[in-house]
Amino acid sequence: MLSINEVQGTALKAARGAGLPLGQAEDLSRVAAYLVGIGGDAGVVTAALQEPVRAVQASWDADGVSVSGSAAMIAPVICDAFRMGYASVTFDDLRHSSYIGAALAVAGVPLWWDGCTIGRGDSEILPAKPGPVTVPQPDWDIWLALASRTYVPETETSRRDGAGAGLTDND
Amino acid sequence: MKDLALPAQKALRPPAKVMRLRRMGAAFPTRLSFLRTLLRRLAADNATVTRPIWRMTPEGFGHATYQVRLGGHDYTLVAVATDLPAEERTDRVIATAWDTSYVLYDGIPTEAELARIVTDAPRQEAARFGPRDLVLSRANKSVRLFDHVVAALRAGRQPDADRLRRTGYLMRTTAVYGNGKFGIADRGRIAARPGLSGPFMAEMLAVWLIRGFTHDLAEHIGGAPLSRVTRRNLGIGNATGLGMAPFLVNHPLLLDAWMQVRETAIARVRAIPALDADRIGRIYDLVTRAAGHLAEWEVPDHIAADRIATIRAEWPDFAATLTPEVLTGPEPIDRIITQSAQFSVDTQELIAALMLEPFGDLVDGLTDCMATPFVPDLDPAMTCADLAGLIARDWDWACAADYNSAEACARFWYVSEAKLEPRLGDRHAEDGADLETPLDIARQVKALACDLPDDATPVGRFLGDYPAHRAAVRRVQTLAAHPYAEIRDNLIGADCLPIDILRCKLAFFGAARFDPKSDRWTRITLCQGAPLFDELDNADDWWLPVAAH
Repeated sequence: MLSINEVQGTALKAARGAGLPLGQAEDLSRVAAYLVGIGGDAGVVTAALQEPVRAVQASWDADGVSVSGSAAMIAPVICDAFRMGYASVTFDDLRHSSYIGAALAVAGVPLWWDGCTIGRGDSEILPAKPGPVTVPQPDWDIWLALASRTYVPETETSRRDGAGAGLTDND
Repeated sequence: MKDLALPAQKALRPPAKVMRLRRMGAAFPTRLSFLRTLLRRLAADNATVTRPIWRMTPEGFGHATYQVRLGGHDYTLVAVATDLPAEERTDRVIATAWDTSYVLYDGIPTEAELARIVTDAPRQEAARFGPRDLVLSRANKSVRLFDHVVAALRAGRQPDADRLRRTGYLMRTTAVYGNGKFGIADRGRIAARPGLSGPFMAEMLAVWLIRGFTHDLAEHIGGAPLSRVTRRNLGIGNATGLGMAPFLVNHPLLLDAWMQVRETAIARVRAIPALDADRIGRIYDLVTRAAGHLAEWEVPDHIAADRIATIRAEWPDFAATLTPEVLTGPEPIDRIITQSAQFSVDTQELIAALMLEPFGDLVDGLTDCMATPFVPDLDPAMTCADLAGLIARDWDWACAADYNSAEACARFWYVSEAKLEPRLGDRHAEDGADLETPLDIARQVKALACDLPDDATPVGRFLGDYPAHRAAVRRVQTLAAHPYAEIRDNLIGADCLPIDILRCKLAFFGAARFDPKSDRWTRITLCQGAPLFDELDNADDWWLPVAAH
C-alpha cells in the first residue's frame, strides 16, 4: 500500500529521470496520482514514462489542433488547447489515448472520442479517492528506477558538507 | 443583523520586501504559528490527555501511549524507548537508530496495532506504515541534559536551572514525518478534521505529546517528579536540515497563504485607531519579556550571534520609542511599526511579531486561511505580451542576474543517492550538477523571459514550441495571483543562505531559540513554556518564553 503523496512524489522524480521537462513532469505526477486514486491502470503512466521523449509538433487551425509527440509531452498541449477554447484535437498515436484521457480528467475537461480525435463532451469525470492506493510492483519498480536517475551518488564531501551538519550533531 | 464586515487594515507590507531571504531569515514565531493555533484549539475543546499504557523498565526502555480527543476524534501517540548504544547515536538524518521513536495514530490502537507500531517505529524509514499512522517521528536524548536531570532527581534535587536554561529540552527530534511518508496517511485523511485541518497540525500535536513523554520518562528513570516550573521550561528540541527548503519552494500556494495571513494580521493591528490601558500594559510586558528572551538566547554561530547582539543592542532604543505619547496617540501600532524601519531587519521582525501578540481577537481567526487545497494552475489563453508584463512587474529580482556568472549559479540542489536527502553542492567544485533538483526558479524564469515574444500569441501556443518553459510559466502566473508565493532571491546564488528558508518555515511552526550549526542546519526549541497536559486552561501566553524560576 502506498500513499497518494508517495505516488505523486515518485512519479515526479521518475518523470524527471525519464528526461521530461519539469512542467511536464509535474503534470505527469498529477496524472499518476489521479489514475491510481480512481483505481485506474498505473501501467498507463509507466508507458508514458518509458516512451522516448519526442518534441511536440502542433498545427493550430481555427477548427482544431493537430498534435504529435510523446504522450507526456502532448497531453499538456492538448489540455491547453481545450482551455484556450479549441473544439477538438487530433493526435497521432492511439496508444496515447489513456494517458491523454487521464490528463484531461485532471484538467477537468470532459470528452467525446472518435479514434484519435477528441472534443469537449459530457463524459463523467471520476473523482479520485484518498489513499492508500496500490501500484503494481512491476510498475513501481520501473518508477523507482527512473526516479533514481535524479539522485546524485554520494561522495565524502557531500556526506560531510552537503546537508550542512557534518556527520554527527549530537547534543 | 450580524455585522460581517472585515476589520479595517492598512496596506500589507509588499512582497518585494517581505519575501527576500534576509527578512524571511529573521522571522520570529507569532500567535499565528501552528503550535499556538493547535494549543488554542485543544484548550477550546477542553481536551484532556491520558496515558493509558506505561510499560517501561526501570532504566526507561519500553513503550507508552498518550491519548487525546480533539474535534470529536481520538488520537494516540505511541512512544517507544530503546537502549541505544552510544556509538550509534547521531542526530543526523543519516542515522539508523534512535533513543526514542513515535507514531501518532488515528484512533486508539488495538493490542495488535500497538505491537506493530512498537516493532516498526524504531525502524523509521526502513519500515512501512499504514493509513492510520498520521505522523512518524524519533528523538534522541540530549546528552548534555538528560543524564543530569535523571541524576538530580535520583539525588532528590531538581536539576540545575542554568543547565536547563542553556539546553531547553530533554530530547531532540530529528524528523517529524507527515503526509504520506513511508506509507503513513496522506494529509487528505485529516484535512477536514476539526482541529487538524490547519497546516502541520498533526505534526504539532505529535510534537507536543512527545514533549510530555520526555518529561515522564525522565521522572520515571529518576524516580521523582520534576517541578511544574521545570517541566514547563522544558520544550522539545529539533534539528532541521535542508529538507525544509524544497518544501517551501514546491508549495508556493501554501507559502503564500502563510505569508498572507501573517501580513494581513500585521496590517490589521496597524489599523487599530487607539489602545486602551490594558493593551498598552500588555505591550510593555511583552517588550520586557522579549528582552529577557534575547538575554537567554545564546548561540555559537557567529552570524546568528551577531544578529542577536544587534537586536539586544537595539531593543532598549526601541523600548524608548514606546512613549506614552506614541501609545496613547492615533494608530499607535502603525506608528511603532513605521518607526521600526530605523532598526535592523531582525529587530523589525521581532517588533512585528510582538505587536500581534495582544490582539488575538483581531487576528487569530485568520489562521483558518493558512491551509489551501489548491495547486498552481496554468492559463494557456493569456497572451505572451501579458505574461512578459507580469515578468517585468514581478520578477525583476530574478531577471537582473547573469546566470552564466560563477556567483549566480554557484550552488546546485540535489538529492543524495545514499540517503535520499536534499543537499546543496558547489557547482564549480563537485560532480552532480547535471542531476540538480530544479529549485533554480529565478534562472528558469529568466530563461523564459529571454524566449518569450512580446505579442498576442497565446501562452498555450508558445508552450507548444517551447515546452521546457512550462514550469516557469506556471510560476509566473501563480505569483501574479498569489504575491507571497515566491522566495524572491536566487536560490542557487553564492550568497544564498538556506538557513533563512528554514527559519521562516520553523517560525511558522512556532519554533524559537534558533541555533544554527551551519548555513543549512539549525537546532531549535519547540513548546518551551507551552502548557503542560493539565494546563490547557492557560494555553495562550507563552510567546518567546523566558525561563521561569
